[in-house]
Amino acid sequence: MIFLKVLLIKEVKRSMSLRGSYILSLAFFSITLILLPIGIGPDKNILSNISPGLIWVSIVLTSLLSLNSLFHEDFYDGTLDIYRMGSLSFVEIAFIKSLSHWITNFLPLVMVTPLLSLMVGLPNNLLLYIILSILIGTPSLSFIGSMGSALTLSLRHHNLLLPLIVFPLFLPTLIFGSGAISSLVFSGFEEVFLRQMYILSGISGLSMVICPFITSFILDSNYD
Amino acid sequence: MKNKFVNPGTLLNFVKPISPWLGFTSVMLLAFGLWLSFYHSPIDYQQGNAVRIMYVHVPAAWMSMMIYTFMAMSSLFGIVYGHITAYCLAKAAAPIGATFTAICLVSGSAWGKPMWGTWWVWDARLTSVLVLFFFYVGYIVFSNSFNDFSKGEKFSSILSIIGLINLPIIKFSVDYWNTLHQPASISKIGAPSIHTDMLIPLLVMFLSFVFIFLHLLIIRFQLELNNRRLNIRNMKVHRTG
Repeated sequence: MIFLKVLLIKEVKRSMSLRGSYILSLAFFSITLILLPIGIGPDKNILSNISPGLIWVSIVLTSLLSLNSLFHEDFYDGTLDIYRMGSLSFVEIAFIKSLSHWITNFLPLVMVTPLLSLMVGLPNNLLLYIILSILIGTPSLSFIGSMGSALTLSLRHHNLLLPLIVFPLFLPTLIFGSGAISSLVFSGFEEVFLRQMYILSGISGLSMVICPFITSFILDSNYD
Repeated sequence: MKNKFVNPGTLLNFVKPISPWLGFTSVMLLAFGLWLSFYHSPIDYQQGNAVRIMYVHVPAAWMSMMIYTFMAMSSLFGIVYGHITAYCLAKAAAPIGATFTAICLVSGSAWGKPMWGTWWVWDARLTSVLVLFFFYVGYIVFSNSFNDFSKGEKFSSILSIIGLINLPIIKFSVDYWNTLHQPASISKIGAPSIHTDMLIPLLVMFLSFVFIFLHLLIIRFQLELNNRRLNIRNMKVHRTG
């Protein structure tokens, strides 16, 4: 347990240092959320109706960008070999890496969401709900994406292939994440909102349990 | 598992003579099925002549799901037993399945325009079939981008097994989400809710598609095997200088 804690702190610290990817994903998230309203047009009504979808699409795009570097560096500089010789199994390492990816890439997005949601015209009373849905939904993106990241580890054009093979698996999160908030935008469907949030948390929980095992199997296969 | 057909050469020697007959049967059945569906099937009282698109659309949809299951199953065999035959069969089946999925999507779109008044809706069934198409495309691109054959086969097999999660979603999407696409009428519990005059051309077309799949599968299996041989030969040439 103490090893897991140390590893998690180390991973988070490394990603939070300046050469970490969190600044890049923060910048990418802001850029997509600035580009989308400009492309759609400044109509306040249209924007506020589709703003949950815009925010969720930007989050999914950002995660596709940042997942490339999840295992890549550790695989090529030999850190993963050393982990392999140590006492931790790959299941635990995959879990910790995905968790630290979630902490370093998605929690900063939550910090800027209030500011950016003003720009896409999200109704003010929905701010708390969308932050809740991001917090509940995004772990599934990190954990499912870790499988794709491990699959494309030994490829040269990995950063173009990863989005192609991973995006179908992100669709349920996108559908239920934006659907939950959209149901609040149009009318007071509190029941629909709750039901979709339950499904969303189910997806997250399931992927947190299952995906580390698959990822560790793939990582092991990399050393055959 | 001890089976002589695990050896790809033995399997190829066995299926190679059958392959042209499969193709021939398929063309015959296709001609018969098209004749049946154009001249010997009733006009739907609501849809008119547009109902005849069904005889291409529905078998193609069945094929797209069947081929994906076949692909994932042989990938599973490949991972568990490490047989080259299983990997090659999975890799050979993928482009055929992608083509059937594309046929299903295009014909469905052409059917949707006169019936629903739109080429495309983001209905649960349509979306999940589109996702199936992207699983096929991802698998094809992914499996072809490895230099190292053994690694590529293992990883693409894992990918195809992960994609298996989509099939139940496709199957039950029309039952759980009550949307535009009509629910299943053949595989229902109890008697199928389709007239026999429509069922027979449908099944003939389906058989024809199955035979053309097997025919193409054998050809592509040969191709994959030769690809591997070429790869091994290249490696030998490089090693000896």
